[in-house]
Amino acid sequence: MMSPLRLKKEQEVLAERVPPNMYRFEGLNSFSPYLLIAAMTNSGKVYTLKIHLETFPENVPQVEVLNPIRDKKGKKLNEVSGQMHVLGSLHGHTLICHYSAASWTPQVSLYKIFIKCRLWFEMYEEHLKTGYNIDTFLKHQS
Amino acid sequence: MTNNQKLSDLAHAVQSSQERNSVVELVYNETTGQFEPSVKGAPVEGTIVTQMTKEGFA
Repeated sequence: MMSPLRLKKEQEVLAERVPPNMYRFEGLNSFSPYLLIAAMTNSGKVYTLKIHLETFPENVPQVEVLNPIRDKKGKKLNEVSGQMHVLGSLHGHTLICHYSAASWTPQVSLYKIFIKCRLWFEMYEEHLKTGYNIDTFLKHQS
Repeated sequence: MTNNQKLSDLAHAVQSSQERNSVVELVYNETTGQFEPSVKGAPVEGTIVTQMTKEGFA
């Protein structure tokens, strides 16, 4: 779980770079803290992310997409897919595979996770348009 | 320029930015909330996120 100092730093970074009405921390004094943050793509579509903070920053946080996410054929993206950078689902919501455990370090900020997911949404929309899998554009971590 | 064309340009920029010796940078403009391609060395408004893209996804 985040130390008070780490939380303060994360909040400062988000306050500098994300409009205040686009995110909020919830449950910080509970065993299930999380960050809700909205991501609007270049096309104007808005997606909502729920970043679980129980073991952040020591471990890769799970990132749920609260919007229904389906591929170009209409199939729910709720199963593990390397091609789509999806880790499966949690509570029926797609989990974005943003970092592998092997590539994770506690220095990764919530803002960086947000930017990666934001980019995932852009390439997800490209997939909906063209049918190309997301890993056509976003390569895999080595 | 329609939204469809903009998206394709961005996808091309994302791919290009990950190539070795690429001169394309991917920038996230915090003011507009949009990703924008740029050229290496050019002044940018926002955060260069190319390295983040090169790191890859899981």
